[in-house]
Amino acid sequence: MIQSWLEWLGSSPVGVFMAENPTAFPWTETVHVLAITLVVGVIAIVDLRLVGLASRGYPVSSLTRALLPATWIAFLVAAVSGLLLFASNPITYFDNFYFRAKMLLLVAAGFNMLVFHVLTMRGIVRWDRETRLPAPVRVAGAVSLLLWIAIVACGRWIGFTMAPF
Amino acid sequence: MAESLIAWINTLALHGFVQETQWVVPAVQTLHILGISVVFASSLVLTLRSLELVGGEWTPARWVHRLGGWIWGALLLLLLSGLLLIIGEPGRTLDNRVFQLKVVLLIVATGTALLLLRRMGRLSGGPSAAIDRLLAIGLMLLWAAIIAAGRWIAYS
Repeated sequence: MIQSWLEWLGSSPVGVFMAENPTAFPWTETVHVLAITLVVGVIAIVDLRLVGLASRGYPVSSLTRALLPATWIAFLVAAVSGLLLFASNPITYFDNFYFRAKMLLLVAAGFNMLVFHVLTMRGIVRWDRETRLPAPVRVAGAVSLLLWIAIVACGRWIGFTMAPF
Repeated sequence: MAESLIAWINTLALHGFVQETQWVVPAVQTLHILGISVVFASSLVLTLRSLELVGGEWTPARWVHRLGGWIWGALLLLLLSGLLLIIGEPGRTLDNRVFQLKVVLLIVATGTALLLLRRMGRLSGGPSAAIDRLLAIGLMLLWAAIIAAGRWIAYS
């Protein structure tokens, strides 16, 4: 089932264009890097606040509210450009260990964020302005930081373990 | 001049190490991208703050105090990791037009960042001057061009 979808994507007009147009891949990669650096950098500003390493005087709720819209826009751009890169050679990407690891780590980062927003943030009125936050909050920040660093590393390793161009 | 420099780098033991140890280049590139993340996202926050779109609970000066050190620290990491990548492949970088463009843009961006941070670092409130907004937007465009150039070194 997955295999036929991968084949369909690779032979779709978008897949063929991404594979054959000489500038489509590097330009899409450029957009992907621009977007992912913003995603990681902005999330890190929030994570460092949660962990207690920076911005300790800034209310957590204000910080997340201020920075999340930009993060989501950048994430959407990263996801779309990533899918386009994937379409250039779906079967080889899907078989790549670092690609699979990156996807799993992304799911883990999403799950960590979901738990933080749905459960941990419930008690935010009690610690919003504290400099030292409760342990679950600090753990969520540290896990997010580590996951995003690993996601960047996997992304870079994909390029060195398949190098289709 | 560039050719003798490239030839000299090719004789260094560090060059051989970067070339022959498989994990070094992707690991250094990962650090390089993380450094870019810090610089680019911090600049974005300063830009959005100068446009009064985010971060209103802190003055521009306080934001500069929060992010300035991270920006300069990350730029140092970028310089060191970049140097290591050049030592690994001097011919593909120093002799490359896109790399040379990237260096020029980097010098302009560093000057722009110095000026912007110095000006915003004095603002304790009130709206930012038009020139600060212009500098901030210009800085974001410069970083974007530098990141794009960095990606295109591999293809030119």
